[in-house]
Amino acid sequence: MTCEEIKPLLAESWAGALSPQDSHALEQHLSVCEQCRAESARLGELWRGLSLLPADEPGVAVRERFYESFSAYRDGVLYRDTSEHGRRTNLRQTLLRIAAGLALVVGGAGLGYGLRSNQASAGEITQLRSEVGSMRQLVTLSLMQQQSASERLRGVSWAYRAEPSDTEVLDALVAAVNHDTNVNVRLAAVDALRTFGGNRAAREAVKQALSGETAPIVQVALIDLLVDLKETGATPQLRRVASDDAADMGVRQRAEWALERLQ
Amino acid sequence: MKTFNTLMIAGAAAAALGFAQDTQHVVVPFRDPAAPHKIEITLPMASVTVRGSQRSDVAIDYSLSNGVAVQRRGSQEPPPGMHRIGGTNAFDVAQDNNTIRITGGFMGVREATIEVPAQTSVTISSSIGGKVSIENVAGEIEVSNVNSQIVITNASGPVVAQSTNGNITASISKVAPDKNMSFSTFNGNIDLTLPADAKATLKGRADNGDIFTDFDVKLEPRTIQPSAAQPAQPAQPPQPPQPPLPPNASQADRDRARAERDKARAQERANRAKERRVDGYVEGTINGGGPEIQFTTFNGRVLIHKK
Repeated sequence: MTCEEIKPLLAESWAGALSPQDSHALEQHLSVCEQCRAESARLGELWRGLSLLPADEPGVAVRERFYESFSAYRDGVLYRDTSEHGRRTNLRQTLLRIAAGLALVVGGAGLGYGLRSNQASAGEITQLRSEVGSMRQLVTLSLMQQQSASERLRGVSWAYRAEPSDTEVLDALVAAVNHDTNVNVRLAAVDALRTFGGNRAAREAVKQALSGETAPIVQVALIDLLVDLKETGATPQLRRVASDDAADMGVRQRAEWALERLQ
Repeated sequence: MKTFNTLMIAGAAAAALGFAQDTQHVVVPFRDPAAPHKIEITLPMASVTVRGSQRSDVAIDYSLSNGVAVQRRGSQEPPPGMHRIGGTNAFDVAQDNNTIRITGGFMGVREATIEVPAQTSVTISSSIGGKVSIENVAGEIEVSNVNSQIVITNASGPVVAQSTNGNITASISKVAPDKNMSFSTFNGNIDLTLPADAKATLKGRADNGDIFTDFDVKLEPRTIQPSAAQPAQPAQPPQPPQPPLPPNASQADRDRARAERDKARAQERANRAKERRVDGYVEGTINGGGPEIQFTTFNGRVLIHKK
């Protein structure tokens, strides 16, 4: 099988809709073709990313709107069906719909052919890469909004795969470090901020977070991160922790140690 | 979102009758037992046991602490034609959107045993109460506490547990492929038991303790910058201050002394820069890797057992 013939099989294999023969052919091809294997791995990640996105639960308002429009539609149908004119209008509308459907099919086929001829161009690969990047961002941000702490932690693990230039993921991590109600999520987010260590805003955020944090285990993680980032501007925040009577003794000692290291 | 069903439990009345230590029993059905449901327990001073069971509703057995707060307030019946929408009570159960919330005042519930359907998501926050036990729960578990131990047995959903001073013991019977878990305590130990075939990525640190396991862990080098572990000892003991130069020392002597001081300082800076920070985090996979299981303790130790 050629690479061109293999590509459609990839999508079907992720969807689990591949016949045993096709599946065998795909495996054989992937075992010999470096390029297809790489593409399969990259797109496979995207595919799994998509499946991670939580399904939106329809709210009460959606249900109400649905029934409203449903009853409006039903009333409309009942009304139309009472007249001969209505039936003729219906016929014309049906024909129009069929025509529109055909136009879509033809247009879609043309578009598909056009895209095929351009396949594997360098521009497309760059585009694909940026799409994978934004998919990672979407997965990260969406998971970090979840009510469940386990899901938010999963979002934080996704943040490690973000580009260091991805400010939206950085903002989400900073928000988590400062405001997440769960200590373990804050702790994980502090570590994930390392990826953004070169970023000025990230360093500022770590300093600010240290001022507001009360959980000792997160305080220690923040202090360590400041030392690792060699953030010499954090002296005032560290001094405050070192002399804070309410802070745990271990935390205060850690802050003193950090002050020494950052001199 | 409207509050669906607010029950006020007559703890106050019980206290007034002098039965404060007696166990009260309440059963609360979920509004829609077939839909995902959740229980949120906020009992600051209580020992709490939550047990997954075959039932489809929530059964609560609780006893009040000596009834101090309760007696002070007395039992307040709503005035005619009115109902209660807020305030504090020794013990409250409310339901909102298929979430049952159990709350108690600061001096309210002393002990509570709560049976829930096994598939319930359980969130418990008990700041300075006694032991928190969670058994046979298949939903998500989120538990936080300050001073006492957390014991989780036979959990088959994801667990996120945190304590400041208490030990955390958790026995997990199933690790779902797409759910993260996390355990952290500042002064306590973490004792974690996972199924022998659990696929997971373990990540954690114990600053002043050890991490032991009988799993075959494939350790992975951390790809991001090294982080801090033990506060490194200063490379050299502080130099004793130089004896002051005699007042009659020449300018050349002073310059030489200053140059020596500068050189010593530069050397010290160089030594510090050379010190490699030991990475405090351990990261590794078991059975080929899977969702992340994090464990963090500052003063305690970590045991990860194979079941």
